[in-house]
Amino acid sequence: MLIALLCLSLSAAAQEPEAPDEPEAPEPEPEPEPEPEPRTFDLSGGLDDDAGSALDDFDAAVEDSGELDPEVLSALAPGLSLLEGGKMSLVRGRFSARPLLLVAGAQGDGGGQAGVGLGAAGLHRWWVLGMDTVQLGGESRLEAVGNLGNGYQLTLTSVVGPWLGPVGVHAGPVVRLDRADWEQAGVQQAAGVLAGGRGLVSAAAGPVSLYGGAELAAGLTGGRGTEWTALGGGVVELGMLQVIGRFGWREAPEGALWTAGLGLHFQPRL
Amino acid sequence: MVWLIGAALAGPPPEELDLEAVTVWEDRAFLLADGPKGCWVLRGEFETRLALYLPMTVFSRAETDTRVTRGTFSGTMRDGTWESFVYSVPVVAARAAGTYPLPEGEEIWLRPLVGALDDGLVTRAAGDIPPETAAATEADGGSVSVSFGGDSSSEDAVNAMRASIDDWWDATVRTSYLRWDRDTDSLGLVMEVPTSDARGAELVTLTATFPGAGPHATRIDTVLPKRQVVFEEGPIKVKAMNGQLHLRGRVVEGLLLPTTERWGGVIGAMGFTVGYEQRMAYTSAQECP
Repeated sequence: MLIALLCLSLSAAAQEPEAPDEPEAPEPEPEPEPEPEPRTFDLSGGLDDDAGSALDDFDAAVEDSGELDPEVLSALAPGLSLLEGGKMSLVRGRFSARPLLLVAGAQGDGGGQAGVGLGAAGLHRWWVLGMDTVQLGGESRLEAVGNLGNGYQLTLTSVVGPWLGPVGVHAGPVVRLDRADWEQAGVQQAAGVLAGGRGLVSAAAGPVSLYGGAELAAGLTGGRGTEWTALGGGVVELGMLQVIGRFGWREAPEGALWTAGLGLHFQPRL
Repeated sequence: MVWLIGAALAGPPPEELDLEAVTVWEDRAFLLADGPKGCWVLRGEFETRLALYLPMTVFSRAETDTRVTRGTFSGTMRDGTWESFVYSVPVVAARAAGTYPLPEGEEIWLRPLVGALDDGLVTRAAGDIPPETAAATEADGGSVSVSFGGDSSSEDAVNAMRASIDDWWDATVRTSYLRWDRDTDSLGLVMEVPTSDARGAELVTLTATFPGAGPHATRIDTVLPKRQVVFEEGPIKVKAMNGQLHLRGRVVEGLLLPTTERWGGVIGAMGFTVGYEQRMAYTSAQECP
């Protein structure tokens, strides 16, 4: 019976019509793999780090600048002895030199006369660090000017004083060797040494500084009398360029003498 | 509590670590300065600080001027060489923040420590255009007045950090040693180089830090002597002070990428003192498409 069923099943299977051959579907082309997205990494953490800063200690760096040999400083900065020992280590200074081009003249019995003055100045400036509202410092200046054909001046001044907020007050001794020969104006002075004092008051406001002062000097040699001088000037900062103007009017027994100058000075500025 | 966990995690150096094998670590100490392999667009922000001390005179008070400039940058670096570097200083934001609103046409001296860079490539984006926008405009051939500089080649490119390291690397005398920091679980390679052959000469110290004594140093520091006279002639003396370079990085998917960098120093001469510092923080690194 089982055999008969099996035969019947095979026979039926053999009689089933064969399915027509279907055309083979073309194999789908493999899709190109997508380009990997460019990787992006977030690194943000801000500017702050645990590294040291070159400017954290800027004030200390300022103290390290301009340090001078104490002996040199003592010789060049009168008034230093006024400072207490603790302040000595905070005194800083610097030297500089600059050419001078002046207009000079005289006013005497013969009228007025003017000429050109050429020269140079050597400066030493000093100051005390660590002072805010009141700043103490000074300047020594040796100035040599030849008034072409009309004499010369060799002046040594040294002033010291404080800046009190926007106002500076400086005073100190002056020694001068000079000779004047303004023949046309009738002002002639024999070569002589004078000694005295000078006082200056300065005021600074933004890029402009003005100063005015007076000098009184008595003749020591050359038969010179007592002379007084009115001083004035100003500095205007134009970026890194400083325009410096100065004026001096001296009253002497022989007549009046004056100088006027305009200078340019480069100074680093931000 | 946090401290206790940290203390518990911190520990002795790995057993296999040989603290005598200095040269092994020297060879890989400064790879962070070279920049990542491949092509990357790096973006970030920067800050520069310029400080100037003017001593008092009879005609002016002493004062310290400081100028802070902030902005963003973007550049493409290929195998450690910058192919472009654009920075922007948003003027409006600068005014609001009280920083220096760098006027149009004025540039700052911005130099990254990572990668080699030709100076001619550093360009300021016009106006307030973000550097990436400027870069895209340039790539599209746009006509915005932005350029990436002109002639430059990899031969002209200088790696500032590498240069500072190499200056001292070739010294005839140098002392290198390794130290394990138990607090941070990191290995430090310290190299000390005297600035001259004179006895008692000041030292330049280069340090590379390998977290967990791993293969990558993620912190590089170069610290110059606190103060050093670099020129002296009569009463004129020029001092270099506080010079230092710092680089920080992070390992992401096996890549060593920069995160922050900082360099600066101070020069003192004739009573004037001027200091400069540049800080850069990388905000993203994007693989070139």
